[in-house]
Amino acid sequence: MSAKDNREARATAAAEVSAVADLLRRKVPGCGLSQKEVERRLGWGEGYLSQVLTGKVDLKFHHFFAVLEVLRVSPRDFFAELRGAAALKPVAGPAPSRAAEAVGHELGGPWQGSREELRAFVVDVVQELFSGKRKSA
Amino acid sequence: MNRGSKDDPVDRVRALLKRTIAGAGFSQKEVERRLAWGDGYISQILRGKVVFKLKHCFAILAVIGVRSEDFFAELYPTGEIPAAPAAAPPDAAPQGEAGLREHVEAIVREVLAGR
Repeated sequence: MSAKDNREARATAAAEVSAVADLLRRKVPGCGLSQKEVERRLGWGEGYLSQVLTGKVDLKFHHFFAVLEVLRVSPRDFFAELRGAAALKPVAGPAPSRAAEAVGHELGGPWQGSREELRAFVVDVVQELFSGKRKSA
Repeated sequence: MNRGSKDDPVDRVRALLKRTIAGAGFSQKEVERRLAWGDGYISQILRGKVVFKLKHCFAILAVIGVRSEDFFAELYPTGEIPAAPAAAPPDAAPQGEAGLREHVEAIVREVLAGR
């Protein structure tokens, strides 16, 4: 693997994270568990695992290892299976912005979502501001 | 197991990543430059000052030309299942205007540092 520049490295990273989430999503039922049961064992709120596995919130290492532990899967075996499962492809374009979806929150009153949702929203807004896609007020 | 112990799997990733960057002949500064991250951001990741996400690790590995499966095979060569640190439940929504302001400021600082 040769060194990559910024855009290519970010695309590769996004593709790898997506592939990790995809494999985790398949692993949960494959290990005989429901997402709800994994959330219960981890003490997570209902639906959080789904958000992680669909890329709505960034996958953090301590959450990743916690899920693997519940599934009784070793990191080595997980990544070996990941590599064997499919060749990774760079992400074709940017992920759909959550900013537009969150406009209702922005204008409609107090924030109703979680910290993670707020973080994702603010990151989108700031990045769009700096990329010129969004006009500051 | 307490977070921050030598057996913490996340600490283990940080330690190996630090060695891997150097072993690949890169400085942290050079990797930051290539990823258009702010100065010192990798140091913050490696010291646990910012939440360590998989996308950080994969981006760094891509820049330095190390395959992720090789990295994780070296991390846990025996196929053991690490005991994860107590996974904190996802945070609840920030409470009140002051809490919201503090939370947003922290996010913006992180974005400006290059995430």
